[in-house]
Amino acid sequence: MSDEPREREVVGTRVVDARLHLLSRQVLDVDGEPVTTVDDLEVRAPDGGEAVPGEEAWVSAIVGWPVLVTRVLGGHPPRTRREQVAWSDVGHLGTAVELTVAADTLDVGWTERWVRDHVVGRIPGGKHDPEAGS
Amino acid sequence: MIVGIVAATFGAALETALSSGYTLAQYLGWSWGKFRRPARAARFHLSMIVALLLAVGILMTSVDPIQVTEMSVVFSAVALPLTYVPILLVANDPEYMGEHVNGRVVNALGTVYLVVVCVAAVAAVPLMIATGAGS
Repeated sequence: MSDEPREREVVGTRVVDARLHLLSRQVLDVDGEPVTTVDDLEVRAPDGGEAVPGEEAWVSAIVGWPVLVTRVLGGHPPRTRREQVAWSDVGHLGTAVELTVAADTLDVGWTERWVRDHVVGRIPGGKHDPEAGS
Repeated sequence: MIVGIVAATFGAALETALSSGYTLAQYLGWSWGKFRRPARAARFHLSMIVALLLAVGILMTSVDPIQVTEMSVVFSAVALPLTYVPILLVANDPEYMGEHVNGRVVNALGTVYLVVVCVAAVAAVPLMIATGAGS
């Protein structure tokens, strides 16, 4: 996490293999903080409706960890139970998926915030910065 | 000697507790690490707390701690290829490694070691049963 913004290549068209370059990759927020992993992708029709097999479809969102359970055991969680990040928040695809927004503004980070506010933040020293010296 | 034992077991306990946090947090993509404020890697620190409580709970059942250690060492040997292979794959991916990507010599050595690790993983459980776990 250097202070200088990284050079970003502008490529005309890049072929991305969803299984190889997206699924299971780490998602980082705009500050380089880990957010989630890409556990599934939501695919929709270009008009935002249900994707129809055989017709054009776009990746509309990254789906976070609760879907991992049903990906392993089968089934689908209802849409309201999914934790997802809109694809429009994705800025760059490298070895990690880099977002253009901060983790704290995303719904997907609610468990992290809940544990921070109710458990770890309340423990003495829980907010101590280990890199600020004693 | 007591100081040595305390230092060694305390170090191992710290390392094991940390590793449970790292394993869970990195697998699930959570914020992790001891360089962050604990509140900025909340689930990572919570999982270490839970792992510590679980470990104390297991010991309180008056199970023989040496036996627990032996069993966990055997099963960590079984799991070794599962951590070794992904690292070997990433070390061969120029997207991650850039100019430090594995060359042929390193890969040859890495493959030799992979065989050793696999043999150990396959042999671990049968050996444990055959020797009665050292009893």
